[in-house]
Parts: sequence; structure tokens; C-alpha cells
Amino acid sequence: MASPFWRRAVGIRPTPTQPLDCLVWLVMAVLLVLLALLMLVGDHARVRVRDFTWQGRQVGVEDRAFVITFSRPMDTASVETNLTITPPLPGKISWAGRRLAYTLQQPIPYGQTFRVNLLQARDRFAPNKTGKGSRFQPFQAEFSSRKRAFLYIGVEGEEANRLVLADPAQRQRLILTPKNLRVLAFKAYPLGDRVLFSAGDSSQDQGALNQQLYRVTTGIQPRPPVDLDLRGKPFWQPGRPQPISGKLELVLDNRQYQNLKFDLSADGQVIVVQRVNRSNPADFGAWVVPAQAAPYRLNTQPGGDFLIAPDSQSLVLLQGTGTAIIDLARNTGSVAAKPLDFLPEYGQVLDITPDGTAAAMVNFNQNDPEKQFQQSLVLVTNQGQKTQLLQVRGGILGAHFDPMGPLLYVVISELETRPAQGTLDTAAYVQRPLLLTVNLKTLAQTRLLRLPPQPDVHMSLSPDGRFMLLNVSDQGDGLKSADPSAGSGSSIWTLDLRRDTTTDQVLATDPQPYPFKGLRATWLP
Amino acid sequence: MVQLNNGITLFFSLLVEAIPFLLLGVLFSSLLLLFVDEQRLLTLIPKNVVLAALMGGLIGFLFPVCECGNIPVARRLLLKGAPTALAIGFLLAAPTVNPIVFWATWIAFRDQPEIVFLRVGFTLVIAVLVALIFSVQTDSRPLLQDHLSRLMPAPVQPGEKPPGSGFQTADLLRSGTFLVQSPGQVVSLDAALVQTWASSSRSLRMRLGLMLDNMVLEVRELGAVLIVGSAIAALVQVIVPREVVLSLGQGPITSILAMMTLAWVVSICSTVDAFFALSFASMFTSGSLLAFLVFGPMVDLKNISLLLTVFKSRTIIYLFALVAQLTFLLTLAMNLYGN
Repeated sequence: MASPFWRRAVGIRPTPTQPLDCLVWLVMAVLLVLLALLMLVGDHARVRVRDFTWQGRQVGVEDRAFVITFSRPMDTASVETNLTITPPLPGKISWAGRRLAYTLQQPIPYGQTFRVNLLQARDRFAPNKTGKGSRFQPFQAEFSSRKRAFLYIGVEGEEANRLVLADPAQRQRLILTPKNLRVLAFKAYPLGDRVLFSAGDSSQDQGALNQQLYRVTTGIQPRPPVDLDLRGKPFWQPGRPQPISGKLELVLDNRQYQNLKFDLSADGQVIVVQRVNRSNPADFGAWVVPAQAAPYRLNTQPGGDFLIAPDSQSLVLLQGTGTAIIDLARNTGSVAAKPLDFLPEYGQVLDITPDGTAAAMVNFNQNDPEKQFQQSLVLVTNQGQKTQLLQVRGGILGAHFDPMGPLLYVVISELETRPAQGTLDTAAYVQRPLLLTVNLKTLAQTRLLRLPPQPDVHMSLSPDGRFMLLNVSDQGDGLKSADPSAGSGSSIWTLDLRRDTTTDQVLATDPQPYPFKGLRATWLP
Repeated sequence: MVQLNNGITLFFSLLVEAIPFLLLGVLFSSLLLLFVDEQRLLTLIPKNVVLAALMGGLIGFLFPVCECGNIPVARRLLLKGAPTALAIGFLLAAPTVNPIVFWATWIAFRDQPEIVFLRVGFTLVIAVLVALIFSVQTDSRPLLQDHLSRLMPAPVQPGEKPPGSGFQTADLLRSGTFLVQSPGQVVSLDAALVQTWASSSRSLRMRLGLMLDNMVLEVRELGAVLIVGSAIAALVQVIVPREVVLSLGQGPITSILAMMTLAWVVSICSTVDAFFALSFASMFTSGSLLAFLVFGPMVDLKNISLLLTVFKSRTIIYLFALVAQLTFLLTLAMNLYGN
């Protein structure tokens, strides 16, 4: 019998029928029937949200966007129309495949709980474009922002010289450090669960020269969307321990080297400490203490004041009369590497924007005889642009970039002449601090608050940019020292930074005092 | 001119991607030929056809080859007398069910882990089912090309001892043509000469030399075929661009067909296809992505020429049709009922 044409066409020579032939045709027929049945039954798949990155999480200012992943490609317009957040959080929606990213336009306000609702939406293959008979599984989720809390060094009673955690909403306080340690400086870890601090033995007179670095837990249980501390750890290693406040750990001792000043990186992974060898004072400089490795000496020229840049990778160090930017990772060898950049005109860096694109720097005008005893505040961008923001006769005490808008909060001290009081007294200069804002777009200055005469004011802007803490000496006499080691009291004041949204301008308000006293009151991140 | 450039680029990219894996497959095939005793291999294979098919599907974890490298190994398994179920199970599953492909898929679809596990699961189910269907054919010689079926041992009937299980002198009692070299040394002229020599040789050096010779031989034979297959795949992609294939449809049913056709045409290696599929994740359902990831490694245009060196065209049509229907059925069920 002649073979069928299709067999000849595909080159199959006539062969006797094998057992396989019958079975294959039978199976193919059965599969065809099953396929037809399946197609006739229609689409019964439920469309749902597979993942929401902030589900049940506690987020902070470092979290700028959440992502919702759907089980199917979606009709984007239907999702964008129906997605609601209560209370409202202005943001922008962008899509990457099945993922929706919602980027906040402003830092999230702290101490609030938010509800995300997506009750109806259509997938791209939905037959009914009107949304009726939707097969979308309604989605509801909650997340919260971190609670507002601040730290200070106590000055009164049991709190004296100890680190204290304060909850401004409940007006409650918690002492974190033991009595035998005299806390000198501190910096909180990025999630607020731990605090790095330097302290000396309170029984010794020279506590400041014998400070050691410690870490203490605050008892706060962070639930961040992405936990940097757990990244890279194998799954069998324990995660975060149960929160206990006051658990103390020595980070860096002072046996061979004296510790002078420290800073903690924004990601909490690197500590930089300025140290001097006890037996060889020429052995002086910055040391790097990585989270998971032994401390090492940073191989660069010795410098003065410093801070770690927001990228946690570089150090901004005062060297000579200028400021050097030093790569923390590359300066570990025996030969000192060149700084990434050197800014010869600036003797102090007050603040750097979180994205590292600009810094507020102080020019002491030492090379300009006409501007002697004047200080200039300059905005320096990473593109090399320099804009003078202020020039003051007196001092620039501090500056903070506003996370909410194009403002820079600045505390300056203006020199005022105090007239002679009585026959034996002579006229004297007093420093009178002033809080003001500079609009970085228009360079307009707005005076917010005049403070009593005193040489130093500690300012702390809340991470969400909505409140400010001010440490003001309560001595009445501005000439008295506000140095914490002097043991003088200090009031903590808070400012509610309400603003006019149309002009980006902060409206001046009366500061409110807290009923307790302390030094260096600083918001937790 | 642009199309010619595209065609040449596609041709070389397919070839560059496939040749290392073909070499790896040929290496494994030669190792099997010269260092694995066929009798020991056959004793390790389960008697139960389901277990044999499953074992074939899981051997990929030992021989991590893609769809270009699995054909020489499957051919060698058949020549070694392995059951059809095992060889077919290996042929279909090994390009996917192996550690390299699992890792690559995991990297690409970490946020959709079900894609990773269902890819392996669906592949194993399809490979085992097709292998079971092929196992009804106890004598696999009619499925193979004539030059291979001549080298194959006759199937072992139930109750019959496998060849070579008795005394050495029993070789002469079997049917076939033999060369008697000296007393006690009998060479079967039906078997591959290299295999026969290797089995009688004890020297490691000689075995390695023979292995190299066999590798060169197989690379020359299969490499030439792969070049032809890659050229055809490149030509088809130039004539029918990917956009045309994708425009076949993006619905729950048509998208599966589109992605299966795309997998067949682009003939991308299973070790990297997950990253290619990832670019379609925004437009297609999980079912259609799985159809691409499951169907592509089993069946592609470039490999038809390689498969034709082993199987008769009828066998290849059966393989393709069954794999296509089963892939379509499983991924369609996932699209229509999966959440």
C-alpha cells in the first residue's frame, strides 16, 4: 500500500505500525479533548495583590517608596483610580511590569498608622472593561511610621550624666545607661533600636579623656521593610533579638588609644573615631570601626572635626584650613591615598543633604582681610557650584537641610554689645543666637526665633521635618558655659514647624518647653 | 542588508551560546562510553518503568547539560542499552531539571518563586509522562535512525538473561558478526568499535586517548549539524520577527501559544532563557511565561537537526506533539485557575 502524502512530505518511510503509534494518537486525542474542555470552561483565575512591601511594617524617612506586586499584568488606569491611602500620603505612581511603585513626595509623618485600600481593579485580560463582575480580590493593608522619640543627656537627679530616651507623646522617660558611666556624646543607629555613645567613668575626674565607646539598646522593636542588619546573614542565624532596653556593650576601649570624637554612618555599619596613642601623641588620627571587622587606622593626614557622608562610604574631614573628602574603603593600605576631593576654602561642614548632592559649609574668610571676624555660609553642590547663603558677624552655630522642602535651618549668633551696668562694669560683647531659614531657591531669609544670649545652641530637626528641638541654657546669663561637663542645666524646647505649602515658608510659632531638662536633645532617626 | 546583519548576529549568538554545552554533552557522552560499565549502569536502572522514567528525568542533576548537550548523552544511553523510558525522560528533562538552570531561573524569578518550582515540576511531569508513553515500545530500534539501530543490542525479553551476563565465551553464542582475535578475545563488529576496544582495554592512558578521539568524532558530527540548525533558526527569526510572534496574542490562551512559538523559534539555551522570559513578565501571565520556560528547552528549532541524527522523523513529531499538548494543558490550567 502506498504511504500517505504527508508521510512522504516529512520524509517518513513506510514502516510497520508500532505499539507506540496507536498509543500516541490515542493520548493526543485525549489531550485535545481535555484542552477543549478547559477552554470552554473559561477563565476562573482570581487576580490579587501578591506582595505589598510595607505590609505591617514600620517605616521611616529612609523609606521613600512602597511596591505592590500583582498576580497578573494589570489595567494600570483602573488600579491608579482605585488606590487610596488613609490618611492621605501624596505620591507618584510608576509601573514596572506587574509592580506598582508609589513614591512619596514628602517624608512620611512620624507616629501615624496608614491604611492602603484597593477594593476593585481590572487585570489586562479582563473581559469586562466596566469592572462589573470583577475577579479582583479586594486588597487592604496597614503600615505605620516610626514613633517620635528623642534622646538627651540628663542633668537632674537620677538622670544626671546618663542617656535618657523620651517619648514626647506620652511625656515619659527611660534611663538607658548605668550610673557609673558619664555620657559625653551619642548617636542613634538608623532604626533607633540602639545608641552608640561615648562615656567615661563617673568616679574619675578626667572622664572626658578616658572615654570608651559603648552601644546600648533602647528597647524599640524596629520592623523596617528592609533590615540592613540582617542583609547577607544566612537564614539559620537568629534575626533581631527581643527588644530589651539598657543592654550595654563595649565597642571600643581606651587601653592603648584615647578616644576623642566619633561619628556613626547613616547605615549604622561604620563608626569613625578620632584616637590618639597614649604613649605616642604623634600617633593621632581617624580610625574606622566596621560592623563585622576589626578596627583599622584610616591612612590619611591627621585632621580635625569630621563627619561621615550620607552615603556611608566617605568621610568629610577638616585638614589644615580646608575640608577633604576621603574614601573610607580605599584608605586602608600602608600608603596614604589621595582624598577624593579637597575644598580649601571651607573650614567646617555643618550638614549634607541625604542624597549627598549638596552641603552647607562655613567659610571663615581667613584669606580676606575685609571680611575678618565674619563667617560665610555657603551651599556647595557636588557639581562644584558654590552659593553664598549668609554672611554674619558672629558665628554660624549649626545648619540642617529641611527634608520637606528647599529650606535650610540655620542657627547663627550675632554679636551684641551689652552696655556697662554700674560703675565698675565695662561694656561687653554677648552672643545672641538666632534661628532662621534660608530658601535655597530664592535665597530669601526668614527669622524664626531669637534666643537668650548664650554661646551655643543645640538644634535637632525631626527626621520628618515637622518638629525641631532646641537646647537652650536656662541660666539667664548667656556668658555661663553650656558645656555638659560643667553640669549646668538646659531646657528642652520644641517648635512645631507648620508651613505655608504655597510658599514653602515656615510659619513662626512659639516654642513649647518640655517639663524636664537635658543636654543635646536629639531626635531618633 | 540589515536583515542579513541581523541573521548573522542571531546565527553566531545561537552558536556561541550552544557550542560550550554541546562540548559538555559530548564530554559526558564520552565519559559514559569509556568509563561507565554498561552492565553496571543497567543494573542501577530500576526495573519499574515509572521509576526508570523518573530517574531519567533526574539524571540532569548529575549531567548539567542544556538542550544541545543532552542529545549526545541520550544517544549514548540508548546505545548502552538503557531503557527508552530513561533515555526519553533524560532527553526532555535534563535541559531544565539541572542545578545550573534552576539557579539561573531562581536569579531571574526570585520574586515569583512558583515559576521556578513549577518549571521544574511541569518539566518532570511532562518528561515522565512522555517517557512512559514511549516505554510501551520495548524495542526502541524502530524509533531510531538506521545507523544507530544497527549498533543497538536487541531488547531483553522477560526471563532472558541480558547479553554478556554469562561467561565471556557466551559472546560467540549470540547472533551477529564477530572478529576472533586470539583465544578468549572476541570483538563484536555490531557494536561501536571504540566502545568494544575500550571495554577490553585496562589502560587509563589508552582510555583517555580513545575518549579524546570519540569527542573529536562526535563534535565533528554534531557540531556540523548544530551549525545547520542554528542557521535555520536564525533564518526563521529574520523572516518571522519576534514582534510578529508576540502579536499572536496576549490573552490567557493565545499568550501561551505565542510564547510557545517564540520559544520554538528563538531556540535560546535553557541556561539563559529565564532572563529572556523575564523581559516579558510585564505583558504575559505566569502560565505563558512557564510555557516558554518548559517548552523551549524540550523542543526548539535549532535542535531538530540534532535530534534527526538520533531519532526518525516520526519519533520527533510524536515527541513534539506530546510535549506541546502537555505544556499547553498544564500552563492553560494554571492561567485559567491559578491565583
